Amino acid sequence: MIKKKISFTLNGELKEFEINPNERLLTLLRRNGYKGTKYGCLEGTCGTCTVIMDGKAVDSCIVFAFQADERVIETIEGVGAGNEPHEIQKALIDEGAVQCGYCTPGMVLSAKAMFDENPTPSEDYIKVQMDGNFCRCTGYEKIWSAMKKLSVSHKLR
Amino acid sequence: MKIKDFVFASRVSEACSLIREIGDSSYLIAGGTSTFFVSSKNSKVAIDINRIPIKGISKNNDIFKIGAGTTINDILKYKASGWVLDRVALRHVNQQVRNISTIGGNIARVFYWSDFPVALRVLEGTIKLSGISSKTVKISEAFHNSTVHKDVFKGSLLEYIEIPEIKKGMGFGYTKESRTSEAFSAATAAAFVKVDDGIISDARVAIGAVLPFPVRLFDIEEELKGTKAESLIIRDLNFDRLNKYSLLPREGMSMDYCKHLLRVKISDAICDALKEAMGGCND
Ligand SMILES: Cc1cc2nc3c(=O)[nH]c(=O)nc-3n(C[C@H](O)[C@H](O)[C@H](O)COP(=O)(O)OP(=O)(O)OC[C@H]3O[C@@H](n4cnc5c(N)ncnc54)[C@H](O)[C@@H]3O)c2cc1C
Repeated sequence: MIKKKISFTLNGELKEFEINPNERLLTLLRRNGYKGTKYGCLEGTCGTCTVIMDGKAVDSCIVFAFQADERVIETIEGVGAGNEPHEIQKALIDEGAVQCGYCTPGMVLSAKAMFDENPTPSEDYIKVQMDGNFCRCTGYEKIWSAMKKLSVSHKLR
Repeated sequence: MKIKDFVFASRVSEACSLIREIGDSSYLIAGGTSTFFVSSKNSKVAIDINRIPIKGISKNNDIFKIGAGTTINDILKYKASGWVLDRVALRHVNQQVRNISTIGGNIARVFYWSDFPVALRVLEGTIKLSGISSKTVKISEAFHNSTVHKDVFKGSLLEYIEIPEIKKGMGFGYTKESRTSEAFSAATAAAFVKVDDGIISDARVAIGAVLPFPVRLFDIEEELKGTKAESLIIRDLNFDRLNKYSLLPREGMSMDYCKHLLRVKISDAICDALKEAMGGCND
């Protein structure tokens, strides 16, 4: 199998990667240390591998690595920091919306793409925008509630 | 399906030359989400067509022009009077898949579950393809059956789709039954009606998911035409006509259940279309 080079902006920095043409973005990111992007269903259903590509939430398990060439990618490593979480992360913590935490990076990125586009989403809008992220612990109520509170707080305006 | 190499095309003509050059092992990649469901003995050379400016929706007079590279999410978010494809887009998998998959990819290769071909069969309009030659084909012809469809698309790049707006006195209904929001459709139905002075003057009905390729139900359409535009008419429709199709029940359904489900979905689609045509809101 041939190897080829691609480059894209990852969390604000232009990076070059050598890839196998059949490789998915998820494996490329993880083998380069971006392990906050989680392995899940590997077929575009569960949303745990969500990253933001050109401002839109996508499942990195179904995107070929080459499709990221010349694009802008954001992973969870680029959102907030341990001692300075992003407002979305704070909202999830405050609401007790994190249990095992496996789905949380994907959830945060879907929420970020949503709030970047619309800082005050309605409840219905939140549910449609977050419909690709499964959570097997919380039952979703607290996640939605965190998003709703963040929306009415206008903190991301 | 495995990808052994990839190239990028930035213009329609470049993509067409690449298709010719690479031949049978070429595979156009728009969103690339179909690659999970396509099996191929030989690995393919991907032609990434995302850089080609065939994206976006515009309206000119009464016609919507939808670039083949328009994502399902952009179809969902587009707002204009007479625009109805957002109703189909809303039922398409989830946000992440809607953000990357395109209408071109959805209709260029038709799987039994494909959402948009069923809707387009009743909306009618045309598609514009480029390849060995440029051609504009009526949707009714391109989607006549799977063999014709394959021939029309072979070696070609779909540039855009044009559909007429739904005007006053017209209505569109779309129903899809799936086990979960992420699951493939178990039964899809779409209906278009035109009502003049309380009478159905035109009707188109199509079904999908229960067959390998969507079909128009011409018998039922004829039955609808000329009748009074009221939802009660669906009680009198002769659904025994569905018996002539070799239906493929999904999700472990019995044949009886499949027919029943289909009947419900068709009826709902017709009722929704009638409601809209009679002036009700159908969002
Ligand atoms: C988890 C999951 C669930 C799904 N559920 C559904 C569902 O419920 N309903 C549904 O309809 N689909 C579903 N799909 C399938 C898929 O998302 C859609 O069919 C999608 O619209 C395909 O678009 P794409 O841009 O990804 O196509 P691609 O995979 O890029 O291409 C699909 C086919 O079309 C060809 N093609 C693409 N663009 C063009 C063009 N411009 N001209 C000529 N040929 C072209 C490609 O060569 C390929 O053969 C699902 C997919 C996933 C991963």
